[in-house]
Amino acid sequence: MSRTVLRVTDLVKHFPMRKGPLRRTVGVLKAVDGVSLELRAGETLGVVGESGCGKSTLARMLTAHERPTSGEVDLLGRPLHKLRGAELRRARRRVQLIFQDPSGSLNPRMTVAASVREPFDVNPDLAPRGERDRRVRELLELVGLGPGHAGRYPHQLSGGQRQRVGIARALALRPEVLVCDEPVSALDVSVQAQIVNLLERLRAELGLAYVFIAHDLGVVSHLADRVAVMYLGRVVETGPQERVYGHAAHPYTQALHAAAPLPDPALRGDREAPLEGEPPSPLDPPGGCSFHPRCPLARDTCATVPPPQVEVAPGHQVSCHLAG
Amino acid sequence: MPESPVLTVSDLHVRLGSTHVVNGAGFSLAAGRTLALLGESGSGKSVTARTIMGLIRPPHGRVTAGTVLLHGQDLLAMPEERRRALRSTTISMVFQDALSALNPVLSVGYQIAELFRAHRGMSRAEARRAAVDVLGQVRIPAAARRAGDYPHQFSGGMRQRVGIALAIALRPDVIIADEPTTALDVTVQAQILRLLGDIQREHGTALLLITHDMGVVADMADRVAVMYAGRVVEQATAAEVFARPRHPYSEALLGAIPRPHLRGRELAVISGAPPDLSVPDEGCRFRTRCRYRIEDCERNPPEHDLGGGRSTACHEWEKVGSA
Ligand SMILES: Nc1ncnc2c1ncn2[C@@H]1O[C@H](COP(=O)(O)OP(=O)(O)O)[C@@H](O)[C@H]1O
Ligand code: SF4
Ligand code: SF4
Ligand SMILES: [Mg+2]
Repeated sequence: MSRTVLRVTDLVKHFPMRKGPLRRTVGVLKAVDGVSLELRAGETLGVVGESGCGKSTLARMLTAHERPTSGEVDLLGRPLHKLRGAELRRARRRVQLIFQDPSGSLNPRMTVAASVREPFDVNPDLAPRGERDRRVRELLELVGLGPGHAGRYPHQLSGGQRQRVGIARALALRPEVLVCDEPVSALDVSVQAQIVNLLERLRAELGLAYVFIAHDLGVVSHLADRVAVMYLGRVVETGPQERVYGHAAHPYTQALHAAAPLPDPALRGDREAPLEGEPPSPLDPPGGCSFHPRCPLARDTCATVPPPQVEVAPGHQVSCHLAG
Repeated sequence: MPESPVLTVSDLHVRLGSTHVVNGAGFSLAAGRTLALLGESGSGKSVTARTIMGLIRPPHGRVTAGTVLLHGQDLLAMPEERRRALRSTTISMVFQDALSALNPVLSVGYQIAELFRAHRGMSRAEARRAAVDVLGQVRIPAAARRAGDYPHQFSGGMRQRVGIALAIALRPDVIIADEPTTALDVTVQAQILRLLGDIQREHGTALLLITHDMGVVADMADRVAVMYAGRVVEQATAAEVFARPRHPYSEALLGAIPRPHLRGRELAVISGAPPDLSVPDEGCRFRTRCRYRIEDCERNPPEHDLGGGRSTACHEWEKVGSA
């Protein structure tokens, strides 16, 4: 088994909600509420869950853009959550965040080449000055952008091309891990396929490991070796791709599968009734199993007793009273 | 076509400024059926829908050719008041974000009740009861109480239900739904699609469902019109398109979806990008990206009628989908 590059243990992020002129704390939003995950070298871990379940907060903690309230982030054997100053900056290079909308991270007044060159200016030790132009050209080529794109500005690019620039910038720092937060959700199917292929090629060529976040199961099934399903700040099921897709054991994962419209008209009519309701607010999560108000299988105990995590098969864990 | 159409769009051309965003859109929708208008962003789906609804007007946009027949009458040729009278009563629209169709400072019950007062001449009390009834039909819990709430007090999924309530209130024959679930979570999307399907069956409404999602098409549509660069390039039943597309673009779209058996392999991609529609072009708009391209493709292909309501706009259609 390959070495672990990223390990998070009992990760928690609570945001105090303040109100009024005195900014009194009126409640706590539990964005991430006890997540433990492990990513091995060269592997893709898919993280799936609906909006507000804490995926992006998790991504920001994995990449040291946000400090956890408690818990640990171990990156290549170093405690990322504890590092400060120069040590933090150096560690951060090894794990880069790719956003859903790269426009937010691209300066509209900088050309593509200048954007990709910027990490070298900020981190001069990455490459000697004389080699930077060549590195920029190599990086653009690596992500499938030609010399013709180098002089363009972000608004002159398509969504897919902007995403490629974002990836090139991240790769400039020679990371080992990319945390991709819904990188293709806003793209059209045909462009989505281009970026998915690119990520797969980069993984093979550069030996990268990915945390790939999505709000549905579709693209994750294609890319992920292992999958974690999140609901209201917690991982409710995690396991090898073929287990989570072929033998989903948590009622929420099963509902996600049932809700995904499959591109095959012959399967129409076989669909189960959709899950009712919408995810509750993380400001006031239900007690017991937080899925119980929507769960078609809920029992009395589910409303009061949090379910234990059960290993139902090697590496396949499920948090549900009915599992096992 | 075996069934009589309620809505037939023919050879529609629409310009926004100097850009020809719709270039020969044509399709027909049978009573009580679902037609999916499928295409990627910028292909002209929304502009087509808004043209049908009479929401594209000078100076912003101009319909330069085409007809939109609703029960045989050309919406584009009739005076504005007659057209307005048909909106909501005969044809209505659900938007991607219902907020855009709602007034933020009026309660949702009031806004639905207004439709009943304006078009059915109901009293205030009758209209209010009718509005609560419609909110119940779209399965909003505690409809009587929620009727007094304002749009921003509803969650994303509940808001789409309100949008659907507005659209179905007067029992139109045709509903146009423009990406009604694109902004929603998957489990909520499944609820809304099921609701639309149920209402359609119960009321016998025809549904023009605009989407970019092949899964939604497979789940909901009887027929599909595939749009590319402002033109409908293929029309067929949903089963036919998935089994054997007859246009290179439809084929390429289907190839780009991740499927279980493609795991570990490269996904098919459509190389290049859609054309710039402000530049006039006499050829097939897909030719820069098409793997079937021949010399003839410098001429825009005519629509080939393949019988049974199936058509394709491609010179090389016989070669497509045989693999
Ligand atoms: N108000 C507008 N002004 C100018 N161009 C517009 C406007 N609305 C849409 N467009 C352009 O028209 C084309 C078709 O858009 P649209 O009908 O929204 O496509 P779709 O719904 O298929 O995504 C796109 O190029 C889009 O940028
Ligand atoms: S613990 Fe109970 S409520 Fe939670 S998922 Fe399992 S059965 Fe459903
Ligand atoms: S007409 Fe030519 S370029 Fe256009 S889709 Fe057909 S083969 Fe391709
Ligand atoms: Mg649109």
